[in-house]
Amino acid sequence: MIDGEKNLIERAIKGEASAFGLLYDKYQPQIYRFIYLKVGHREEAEDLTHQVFLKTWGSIEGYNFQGFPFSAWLYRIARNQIIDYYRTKKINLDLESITELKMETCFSEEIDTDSEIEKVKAAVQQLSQNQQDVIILRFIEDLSLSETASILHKTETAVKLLQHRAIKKLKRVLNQK
Amino acid sequence: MDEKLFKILKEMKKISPETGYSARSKNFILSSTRGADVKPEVVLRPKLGDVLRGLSFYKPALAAGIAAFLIIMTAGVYYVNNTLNQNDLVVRASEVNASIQVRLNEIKYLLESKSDIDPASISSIQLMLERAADNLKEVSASSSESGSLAKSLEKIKTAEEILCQIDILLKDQN
Repeated sequence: MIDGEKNLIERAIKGEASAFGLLYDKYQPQIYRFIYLKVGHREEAEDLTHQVFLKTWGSIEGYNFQGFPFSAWLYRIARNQIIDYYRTKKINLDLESITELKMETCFSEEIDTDSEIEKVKAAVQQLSQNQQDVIILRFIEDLSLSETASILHKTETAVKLLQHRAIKKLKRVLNQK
Repeated sequence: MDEKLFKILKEMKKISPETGYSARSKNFILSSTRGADVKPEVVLRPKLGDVLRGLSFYKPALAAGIAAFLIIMTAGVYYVNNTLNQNDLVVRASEVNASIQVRLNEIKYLLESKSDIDPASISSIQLMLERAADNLKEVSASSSESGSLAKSLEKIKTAEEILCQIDILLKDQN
């Protein structure tokens, strides 16, 4: 964690909104991307990202510097938010709306028009939650093994193994298309 | 294949939220801490006193029962925040703990904003709060035992789940 960031976090903990605003600017794009790639729906991703930062701001006093980065804390909150989201969806969504969601995921042109990217995006969504996490964190966000391990509550060795399996499955899914 | 796949994955880093959304979301979050003119739904970190005051304005009978459990729970939350050791389980516990605080705020808001809650729901809410409070009390009681952190985390999570159910119950009230 860079010194400037530590200072920003300390100021945010004291209630300084502008400091939290800078943290928001820095981390919101990657948290949004993380959520979007997992839920595959822009509006849902926006709502969930908003909730993550609202929750972070509401509970930032509970954050303490214990050797893990602030980003790891944010990702953990995001992961919990996604788990809550799927838990609610299980209750609220009928089969038809789930199909619609998947269709939107497959054919959405909101983000980009590159069909290769669309294919990979759809393939990533067919991985398990942990496999999705490791692909997004390691290969899209370029996080280190240790950062990824910290976010996923796993050892670096476990992350390496997960990463190997995730890539293997991703390639298999892509080859089936 | 690998090289192409990794290149495509790197390209996905260009995915970003819509600019207008980011500005709106950020403004909403940051404005939520502004002083006296803040609306109830955007108060993020009310103190316990605010919670109890809100309840007492709402319905005295409800306030008496629920406020007692909120005090026990807040004490539990405070205890968990301050006494557990620094390790990974604690990090997770503090996340759930933070989530409990957020849920308490939501419940407070919902209790204030709902004009009429049926007696059966009030009694259910009281019972559920009692169960949540019991879980937090057990955390306090067991934290001195070795190897109790995992159990404590489970109990904190259970308390959070119960608050989540209360939240849903209140949201379902017309």
